[in-house]
Amino acid sequence: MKKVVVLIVAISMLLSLFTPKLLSVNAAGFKDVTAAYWAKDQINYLVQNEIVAGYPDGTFKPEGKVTREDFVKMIVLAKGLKEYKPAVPTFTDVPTSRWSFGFVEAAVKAGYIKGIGGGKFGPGNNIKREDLAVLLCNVIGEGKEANDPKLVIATFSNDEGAISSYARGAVTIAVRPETQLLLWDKSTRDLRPNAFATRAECAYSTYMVMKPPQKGGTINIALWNEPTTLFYGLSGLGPMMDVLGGCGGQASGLNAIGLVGTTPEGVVYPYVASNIPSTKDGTWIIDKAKGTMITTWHIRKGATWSDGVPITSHDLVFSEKMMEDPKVASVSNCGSEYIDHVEAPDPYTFKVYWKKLNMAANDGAHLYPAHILEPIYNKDPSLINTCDYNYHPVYAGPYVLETWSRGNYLLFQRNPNYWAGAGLLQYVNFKVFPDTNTMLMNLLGGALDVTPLELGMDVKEAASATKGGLTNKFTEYVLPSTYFEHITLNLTDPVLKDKTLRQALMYALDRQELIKEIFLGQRVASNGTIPLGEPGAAKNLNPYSYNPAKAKAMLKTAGYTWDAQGELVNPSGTVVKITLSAPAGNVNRQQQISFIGQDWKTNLGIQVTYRPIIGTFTYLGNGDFQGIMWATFFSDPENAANTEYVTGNTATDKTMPNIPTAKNGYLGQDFARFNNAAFDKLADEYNSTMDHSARVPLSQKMEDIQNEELPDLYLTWYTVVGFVRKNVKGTDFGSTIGLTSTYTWNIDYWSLSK
Amino acid sequence: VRNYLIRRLIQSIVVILLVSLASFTLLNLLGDPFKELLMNPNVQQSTVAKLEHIYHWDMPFLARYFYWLKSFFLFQNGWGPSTTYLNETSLQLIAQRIGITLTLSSLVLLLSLLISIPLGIYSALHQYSSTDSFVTVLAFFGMSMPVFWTGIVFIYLFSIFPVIHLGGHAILPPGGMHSTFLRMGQNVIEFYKAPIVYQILNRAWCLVLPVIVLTLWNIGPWLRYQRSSMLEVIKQDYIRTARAKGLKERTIVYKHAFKNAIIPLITLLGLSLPGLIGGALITETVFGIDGIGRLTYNSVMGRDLFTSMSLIMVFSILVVIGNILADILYVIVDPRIKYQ
Repeated sequence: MKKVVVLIVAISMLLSLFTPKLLSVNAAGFKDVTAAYWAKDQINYLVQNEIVAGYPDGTFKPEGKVTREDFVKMIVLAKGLKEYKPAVPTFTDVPTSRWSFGFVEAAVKAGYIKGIGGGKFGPGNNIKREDLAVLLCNVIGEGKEANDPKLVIATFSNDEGAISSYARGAVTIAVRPETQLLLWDKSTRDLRPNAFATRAECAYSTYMVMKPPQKGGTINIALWNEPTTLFYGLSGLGPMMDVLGGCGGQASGLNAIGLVGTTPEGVVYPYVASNIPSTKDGTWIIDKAKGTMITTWHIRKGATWSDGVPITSHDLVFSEKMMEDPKVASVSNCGSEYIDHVEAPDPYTFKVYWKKLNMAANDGAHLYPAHILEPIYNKDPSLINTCDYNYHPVYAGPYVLETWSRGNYLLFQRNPNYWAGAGLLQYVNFKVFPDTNTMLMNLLGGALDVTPLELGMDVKEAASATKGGLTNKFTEYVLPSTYFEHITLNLTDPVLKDKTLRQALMYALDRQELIKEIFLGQRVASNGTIPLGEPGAAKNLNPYSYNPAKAKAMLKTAGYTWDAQGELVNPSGTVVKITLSAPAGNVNRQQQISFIGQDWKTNLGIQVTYRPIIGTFTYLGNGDFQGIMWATFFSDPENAANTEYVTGNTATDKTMPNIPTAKNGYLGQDFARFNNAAFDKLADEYNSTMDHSARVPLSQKMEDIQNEELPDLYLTWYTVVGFVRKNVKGTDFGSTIGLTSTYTWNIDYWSLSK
Repeated sequence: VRNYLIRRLIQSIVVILLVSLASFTLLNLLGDPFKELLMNPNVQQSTVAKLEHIYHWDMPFLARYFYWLKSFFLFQNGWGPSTTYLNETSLQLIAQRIGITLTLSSLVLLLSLLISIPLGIYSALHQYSSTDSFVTVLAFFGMSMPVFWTGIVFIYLFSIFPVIHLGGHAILPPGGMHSTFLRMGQNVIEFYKAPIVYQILNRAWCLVLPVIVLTLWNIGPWLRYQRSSMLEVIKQDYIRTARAKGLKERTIVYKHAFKNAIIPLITLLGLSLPGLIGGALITETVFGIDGIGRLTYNSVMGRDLFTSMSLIMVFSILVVIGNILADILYVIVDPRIKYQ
């Protein structure tokens, strides 16, 4: 008994020794550093290690500025260097009497700083972001590399030109995966090199010096389906995008791979190109009167294909010719039909001469290795469709295909010839799992780290996985996708051509209940086609909140009546009956149709019949339907409304009617047969407006018309459910999956923490 | 004999032609596989028109049919392009997958026969014994458990449970066709860089679970056939005669009874030929094996017309050949039956 008491006393005394320390650790919770603050963990870490401290009033002032001497002190402390006080000061403005003297001299001794010239250091000046990069490159021992003339300058930012020439190399290194000392602005992809670094930014960078990202290891990512080819321009769909999106070097929409990159927020930035054509710097010249344009691209000097061959403008000229060839089965499109001709005035300049205005002119261009494909093409262009490049592509991205074990996996390895800082992982392995249960089993068993963040796993499967304890080791992502479920109505139908009826149908449908019942509450109602959060999405769409009384009243005012059986009769005396079609065997859609049918029956007295069909497109095309439930997406939210609601296909050729008829071989895409002059006019205006910000209100107006006219009954946005192992760091999926980039877009920044 | 074979062959060709016309017509009802691409708003009309022209889809129906038939029988154009895998031909797709499917299905067939024939004979000879009851229960259990269920249970037991609950390595791989990395002593080596022996062993290792699961499922029917056919035979007069002659039980069973009891199984064997190639869709899906079963499913669901047609043709030709083979084998093993 005595021993136990002694032990307890001893332990409590020991504990009390740590108590003040524990308290001080907690004190890092500053008033102005919320739990959601982007650099909270880094600030806390530095405070715990007594490298920075907060203010007496309990704040940290993370947005405050930092002087050069302050930052030097931080870095000297972070590196564990001792103050050094030589007899003669190095800088005239840091005399021995200055408080920072010991720190500045220690930094000089370690080779971190050289001053601003004239024997001065400028200790009291605020530190610029680019100077932060220069200083930190010296700290991590990359100073020599940063000044190496062979270094390929590539900061993947939209303000690369603003970086002072002495800092370009350092900034290039500072944004690389293995350093990550500087971060881009998410909304603009700018680096703001001349802005002063904030306290939070300095804390973050110092943290990255102390704890650089982990390198090496293999990450296993699941795919539902194997890509059919890795030749980007010959497929451009599905799993290939996930595989190539990050590894191959930035897939951007369906347009191109390599020249530009796109963030999940939809910001385009230069990748292999060093500029994005812009009207501001003369790289995008528009002649509105003639309707012609010239865009100029510059290629980064030193960028190479994964086999080491330099990328030149000849690659771009050849690629354009190849993808336009009628014998090449290309499905991707870089606005070829708008292009008059292209030329390469020098190996690093590429000029596109447009015969028509194309608002997407700065979205990229076809980029494939001419040194591999041109000999094949010259033999016979149709050989391109089946050539070995489909399976062993050469790209310009951070990872290269090592092995494609057909039907099994695609193994990517760090690209040894990558020109912009290697990816952090040794291997990226995409494994094919056609069965959800098997996929989840492999996740549990440790053979998988990431499930595909795309459509596939439905909310019910995910819910059971969550119950199965998967969330202990995995982060579950539930994000809206760009896919939306809708019922396309045939507006040539004598009953459905009435707008009032279409609106009443929306009001009489309880979509919140439908989401709760069929999708376990995991979907969001959609009221238009432009993905949520996209600037072009209209702000005040009618939500068509469930209101059966309003629906009935609307119909009554419009002259609808109900017969003795309670069935709805329209003003011309026809009993309203609606047949909804959906693919045979699709249980989920069958459930939705039965739910919708019940609502319409109870609320409006409309008899709904379900018709199973095979081959949705055949019916959408030939018009043999009243309503078809299907899902689609607009991968480029900017031109969301362009293909499906315009009568003439403004996107390609105005003479080609877009309403499918026998005459055009049912090739049109205006499936609803929507014919609205105001909408067409807006779409025309939209397509001839080159300025992005001026297009935004037009896009919103178009969506307003869709929402009002209801050529489609919009139901829900699809939900993407994915699991990512908690030790996988660096992922960035944005707020909507698949909006503008694949979820693997920044895979060179992914790492495995121990 | 020759006349019989010629007659059968002519019949078969007619059957195959009819099958091809019927399935081509049916698959055409599903609509134009290229127009389907238009459901993607990014695909342009001109692109679709271009693809249709490249793949001769702008011709009238009968012309398309004969164009396709010709290419099939003359092995031209690789039996037509796959519309899901635009840069590969149907023949290439089938050729890539036939190996793994044949390996899996012949292993399963061999194992099932090796297990079910002796067990069937044993339980027939010891009818109503406790062993017989046990074997019967086992057979029905195997037959009635769906493969996707046993598959998942086996994956859990052999690959997941040891990892998450015992903290060790998986006893057997949870599927796939082979591992990405192989452990050779202290080193971890990428599969294709390992010595070929290791590669073969690893492939075999990955097949263990699917083979067990499929065999469990397959044993039942074979066992029941063998048992009932044996039961029928040992009640025949000539067996009694043999017993009366005082022959040894061994001789009676293996020389007199077994040879006769195996005849129905030989017919079934001939008929199981298409199944060998047809693959096992569910097993292939659960274990992530990219075989013919998955190809068939994907090409039908993806409305990949040329690939579906090629597969249907291969299957129907195999059914016909299997039937002829069964008939021929029947005559060989049973002298009472003559060609007519």
